[in-house]
Amino acid sequence: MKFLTIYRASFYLMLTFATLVLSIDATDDNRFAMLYPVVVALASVAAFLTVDRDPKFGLSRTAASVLALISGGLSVAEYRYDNTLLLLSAAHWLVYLQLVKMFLPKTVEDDWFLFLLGLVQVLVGGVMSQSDKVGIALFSWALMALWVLILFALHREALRMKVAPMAETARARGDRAEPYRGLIDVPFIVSTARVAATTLALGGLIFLAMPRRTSMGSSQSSGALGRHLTGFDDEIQLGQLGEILENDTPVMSVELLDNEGSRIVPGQDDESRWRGVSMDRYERGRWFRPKFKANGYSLGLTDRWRESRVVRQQIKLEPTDSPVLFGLRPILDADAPDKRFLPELNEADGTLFRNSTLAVSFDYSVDSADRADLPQPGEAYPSVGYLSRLVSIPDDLKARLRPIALDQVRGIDEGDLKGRTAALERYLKDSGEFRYSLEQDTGDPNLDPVEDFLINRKTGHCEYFASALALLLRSIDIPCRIINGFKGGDYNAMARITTVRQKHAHSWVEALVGRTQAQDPAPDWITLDPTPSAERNASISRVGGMASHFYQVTDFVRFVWIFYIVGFNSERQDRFLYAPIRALIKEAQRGFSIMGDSIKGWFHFPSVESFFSLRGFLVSFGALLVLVGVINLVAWCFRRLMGRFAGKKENDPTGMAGVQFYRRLMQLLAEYGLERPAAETPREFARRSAIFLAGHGSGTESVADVPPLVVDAFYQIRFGERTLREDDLEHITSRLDALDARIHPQKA
Amino acid sequence: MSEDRSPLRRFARWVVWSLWPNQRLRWTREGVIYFCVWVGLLLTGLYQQINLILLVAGLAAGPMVGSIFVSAAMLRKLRISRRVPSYVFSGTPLSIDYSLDNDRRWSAALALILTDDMIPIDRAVSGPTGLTTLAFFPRVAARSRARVRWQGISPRRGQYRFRMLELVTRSPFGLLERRVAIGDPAQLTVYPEIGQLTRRWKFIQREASETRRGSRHDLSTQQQEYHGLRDYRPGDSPRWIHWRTSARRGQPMVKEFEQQHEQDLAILLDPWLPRTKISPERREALEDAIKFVATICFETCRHPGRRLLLGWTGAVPGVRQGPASVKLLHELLEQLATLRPSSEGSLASLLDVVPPSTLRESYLIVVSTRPINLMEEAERSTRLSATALRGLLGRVTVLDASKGDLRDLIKFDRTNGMAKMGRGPATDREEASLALADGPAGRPEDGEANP
Amino acid sequence: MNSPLMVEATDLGAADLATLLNRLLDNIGSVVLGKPEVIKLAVVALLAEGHVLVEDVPGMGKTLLARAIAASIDCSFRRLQFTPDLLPSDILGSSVYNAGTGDFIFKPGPIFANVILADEVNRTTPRTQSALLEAMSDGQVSVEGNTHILERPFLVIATQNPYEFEGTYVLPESQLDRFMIRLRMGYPLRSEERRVLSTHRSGEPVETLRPVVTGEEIRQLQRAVRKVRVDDAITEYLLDIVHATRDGDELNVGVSTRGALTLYRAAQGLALVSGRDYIVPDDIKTLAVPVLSHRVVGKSFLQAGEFGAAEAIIRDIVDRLRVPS
Repeated sequence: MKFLTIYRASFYLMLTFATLVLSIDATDDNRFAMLYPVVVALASVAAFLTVDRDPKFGLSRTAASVLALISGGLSVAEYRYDNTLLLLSAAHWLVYLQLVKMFLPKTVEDDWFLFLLGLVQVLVGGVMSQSDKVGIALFSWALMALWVLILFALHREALRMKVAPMAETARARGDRAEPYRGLIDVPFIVSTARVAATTLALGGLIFLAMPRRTSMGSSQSSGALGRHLTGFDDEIQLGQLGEILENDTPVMSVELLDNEGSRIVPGQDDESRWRGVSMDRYERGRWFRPKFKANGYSLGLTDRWRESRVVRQQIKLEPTDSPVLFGLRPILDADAPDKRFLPELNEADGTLFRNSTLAVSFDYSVDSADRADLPQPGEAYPSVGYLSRLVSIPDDLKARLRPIALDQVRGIDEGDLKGRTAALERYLKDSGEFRYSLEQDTGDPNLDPVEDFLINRKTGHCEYFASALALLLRSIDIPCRIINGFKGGDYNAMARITTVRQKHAHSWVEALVGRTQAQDPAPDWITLDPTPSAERNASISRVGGMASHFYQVTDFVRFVWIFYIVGFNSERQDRFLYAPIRALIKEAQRGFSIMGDSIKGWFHFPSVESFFSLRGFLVSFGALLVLVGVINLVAWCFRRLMGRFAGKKENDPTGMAGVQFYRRLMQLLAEYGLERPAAETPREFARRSAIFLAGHGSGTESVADVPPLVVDAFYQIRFGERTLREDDLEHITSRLDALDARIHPQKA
Repeated sequence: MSEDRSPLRRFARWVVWSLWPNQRLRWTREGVIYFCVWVGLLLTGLYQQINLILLVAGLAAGPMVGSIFVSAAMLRKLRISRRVPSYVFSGTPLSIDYSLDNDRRWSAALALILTDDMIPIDRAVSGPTGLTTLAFFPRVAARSRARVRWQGISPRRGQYRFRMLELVTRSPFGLLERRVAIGDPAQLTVYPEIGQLTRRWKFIQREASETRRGSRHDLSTQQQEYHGLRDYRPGDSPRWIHWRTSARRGQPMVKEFEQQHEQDLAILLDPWLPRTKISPERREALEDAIKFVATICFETCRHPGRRLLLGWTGAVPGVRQGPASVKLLHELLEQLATLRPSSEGSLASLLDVVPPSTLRESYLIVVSTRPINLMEEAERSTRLSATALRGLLGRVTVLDASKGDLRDLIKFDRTNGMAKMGRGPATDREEASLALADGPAGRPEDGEANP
Repeated sequence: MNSPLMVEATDLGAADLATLLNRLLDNIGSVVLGKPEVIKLAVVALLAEGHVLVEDVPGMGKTLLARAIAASIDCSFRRLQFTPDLLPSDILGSSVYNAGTGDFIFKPGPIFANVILADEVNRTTPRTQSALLEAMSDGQVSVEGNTHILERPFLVIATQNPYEFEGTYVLPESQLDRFMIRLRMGYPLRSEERRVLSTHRSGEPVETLRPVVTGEEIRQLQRAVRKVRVDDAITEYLLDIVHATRDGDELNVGVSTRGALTLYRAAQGLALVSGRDYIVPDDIKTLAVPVLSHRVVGKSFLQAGEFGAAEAIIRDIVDRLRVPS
């Protein structure tokens, strides 16, 4: 394969990736967005086959300028047509420019320009959307860009050196010449991969270490709205929740932390209820939610809650169009890094919400008491109007449901609201009469859907169970409301976060059973969940199909992307990077100070006499030992430095089984400081070594005959294809042992 | 090298040399632009606190930091060496071989550039500029060696010194450039350019020898002993062609003569330049004179046997002489290569150091860059008596380069250079000389060939 | 190793070969003192069916060497003093009219001998030189259309004085190629020279030499040379050297294929002389200079005449190349 071909193909692939980053996440609102990468890819192939084969097929510079102007006009027109899409039309202009540039005969500058266009596309893509899909495209682009940069550098060097006055390259002046013959081989791929890994790792570190401000995240929106989250609107048609129960997309990612800030691992059956909105008014199969109104009640730990354990939830909400926020009840405190959109608590029903529906992911944290039975601080006792809504039920429906309810609470004191509610919950949940199913067959349109569920169908999903319980409670005048939220989630052991998906959506009921204490105005809400959880769990696990097997991986990727790339802020940076470093330094400091103290103790000699002692001996001996070690180290470094370009390394003799003794000799002599240069024959070397050994005067004269002896034997085997006799071999081995002993006298 | 005599100094030099950082790192132009773009990116990201821009900025910083390590790895375990001819004629193609050994086990060395500086030792002789050579090694596979030949036109005469070889890599991204300097001293002597003597010169020479011998015709047949035939070589006189044999063999053959009783030759060169206000023309004339003398020496040494003397004026006049041989030619050319122009010397002082026997018998050629009045010079000379001078005058040719005397006597093949290089390293002249050396008496006379 | 290992597959036994060679080397060495390497090389040329060119100033024992070799072998020896007026027929022989029978009979020249000393070969005309050299390379002589085979063994030891120019006809490179080995005698060590002086007290010692080997035995040794084993790695090493002479830029003409073959054969000879039936890298390395340096031509005429330069270049090449091990 030709180098230039590979280079061009990689370059175009990189550009396609860049356009992909730009368009990958725009599919929701722009049907044609996905066409851009396709067009770029096709144009790449076309350019590859024409301009890059023969520059005469290319556009002229004038034609290119005209086309660039036209494309600019096109983008302006696009902006005029829909002026909410400024960034998008600018991005499209980039793509047009890139397409024009592709068909020009390219110089090095053109290549740089194209590279830059790709980079800007990636940046715009990153600003417009921050989903994990963008992340994957971006990383593909980054890898490709590294590869292209490497090839590009080689390409530039080849071009640069051809203009230099070199006669040898004169014949290679043609553009089609192959400058790097045999470039793509396994070592090149491996070393390139190593370079890429090093570079990306360094880049990642630099990214993590960059200074951050506390408020992080909410980037400029392109104006598009976030994903619609069914089930959390002002009004909800009964059965609507079924849609999202079959949907697998993530809603939020949650990190659970305890008081000390360490992670909490939820149990096998995670029953956490992420409370969302409450619904109070019911009319013919529809629930309505109360208006959000901030109460100005500042959330914060009160003394009363201090004694209970706190569960802190770091939540990253995916972009949605709903102001509703989720959290575990009772909520003690809520905060967000973006101070413009602090979570607020609705006084009436204890719902968390925000004043923003921007289509960006939203970071917030919620502190909750870990006892779900405790009342929600800041929630007012229902006003009279609210209370009336909490028991409102159409009269005809009440008339039909009341007997059923009364049938279930028979024998329970009318004042025992908790007992009555529990009985009704049991009726729906445990009687076995009602079954959980996501399938909805259309029932009698004249009948109220809840009544239809209770009396005829007896199968439905959580929303039906909850509605049925709520209406049954109201039919016997117990105030209650429907809560829509999420229950459970997928815990990822690698990332140690819980991913809550749309399929985890859940409805349950909160019933008002009085006040907590007489003197305390806090309302006493109890949570009732009439849905059979086993059947529900089975249903959830069916949703998602094949993809759910890879959640461990995909969630982890999402986690890294969400928390450490898109949502990386100063607080997380501190926790992830600086706190461990600080701890380490502190630890080290402590260690060193202890060490320093003890060392100081060793060297403390009150008088000259005390120096002449065992301790004095040991200390001075140790110090000298350290000195020798340091000198050796320095010498070693120095030798390495000197030997860097000496290149003394030489090949081992070809691996032959019969020449072990020869290699042993070489090794021994090498330890003695004798090495054979490549151009010296073994016999010459042996002779030289023999002279050296004989003349050294250190008792090695007796073994001076060993190198020639061994080399002669080696020659017989290597070049004469003979085998040594046993006794000859023994003789050689014993002589080698003698040499060994001479060279290493301390071993003997 | 006398300065290296002291072991202590040598040791000190070695220490300094080995501790001196021999690697340098610098930004390339692309790298600077890349850095600027990166800074822009970083500032945008930090100002807007958009993590994705910061991510791109972070990743983009990777290549800059990574280059530092990776380029160092690219230079590991490489050996480079240079092979320079010990001499070359000015204006002829010069080729220097660079070889690179890649001792690494796996990875190939990619896109390495080797730069080398050829520095004139004596700027007064060679002019201020040296030559910078570049060799590009596109790819050297692991455990192998590649050789690149740099070819160019050799610079002006003089001695040149090579000191450092620099190996440059821009691997892997071309943003940073890492150079490592490796000391590899070498020397190259650039001999003066050799031209071709014209017919006119031969005519002058014959005239001179005829006046000496009386008018004798056809020197070649009478004074030289015919002893065989050989192939025609460029430079042979057409008169020597043996037509019958040429017709039979289908290629030109010439008669060969044993040259006998040829008169000894003495060339006196006066490389004079005024102390100040040196015009380019004067310099040119000086160089022409040197080239002319070099050519005569070269031509004379083609045929060994004749005694040749070269003398030059200067603050200290010098003389070198011997029977024409390759060894003598080398000495003379080297002398001419390093000859400095002088404003002090005079021919008279040179005549004083020339051996009397030469003055008595040899044929003298005086080449100068100023008008010379031989009578005056001779009078000023202490050695030359009036009678000797009279004898001398018949055997001397005085040439003044500044007046253009040499213009008709020598011509240069100005088409050399790149065109010639295309044909290969051996030029016509060298081929001719080579062939000549095979001739009857081309053995050198030097005694260096001892075992 | 202590005991030299010898060839089994020849007509002579391994031990016989060894003793034969030792006898030959010792015999020559007893006369030509202090020159074991030179003797070895000459014997290599003899066994590898090549010829020797000895270059040195007169009086270094060139003639002595040739005579000692001839005297050690039971065979004929002739000495040819080359002079400018020597004619080819003076060497090759000529046809003489036989008055008795009325036809021409061939009278063989001095070249019809087993060992020939061609003294000062550069003193004669190229024509005569080439007559000798052709006979050397072909092993036969053609006179007036009749071909006469020269008897084996046939060894020519030619000498020339490289420091003389006047009236000499230097052997051209193409002719030098005919010699397997070119060597110099070199000055002997002082101690050796003293021995030379003392041995000459009672007359020329070479006169007393007795032949120790027969011509037939030499022929057997020559056959044994061809059977010496050569490892592939060694062949590669040899080719490395040969190619380096062609690739380098100091040399205009590198070693020819014949040169490579000659080195191969000579190395086989050296192996046998050293008592081995296999070549080791040292053989090649030792022989590279004497076998190759007269087969290359330096780049420029300024170097062409200097054999020392060619030797240095070859030595440089050998000192650079990787030795197989």
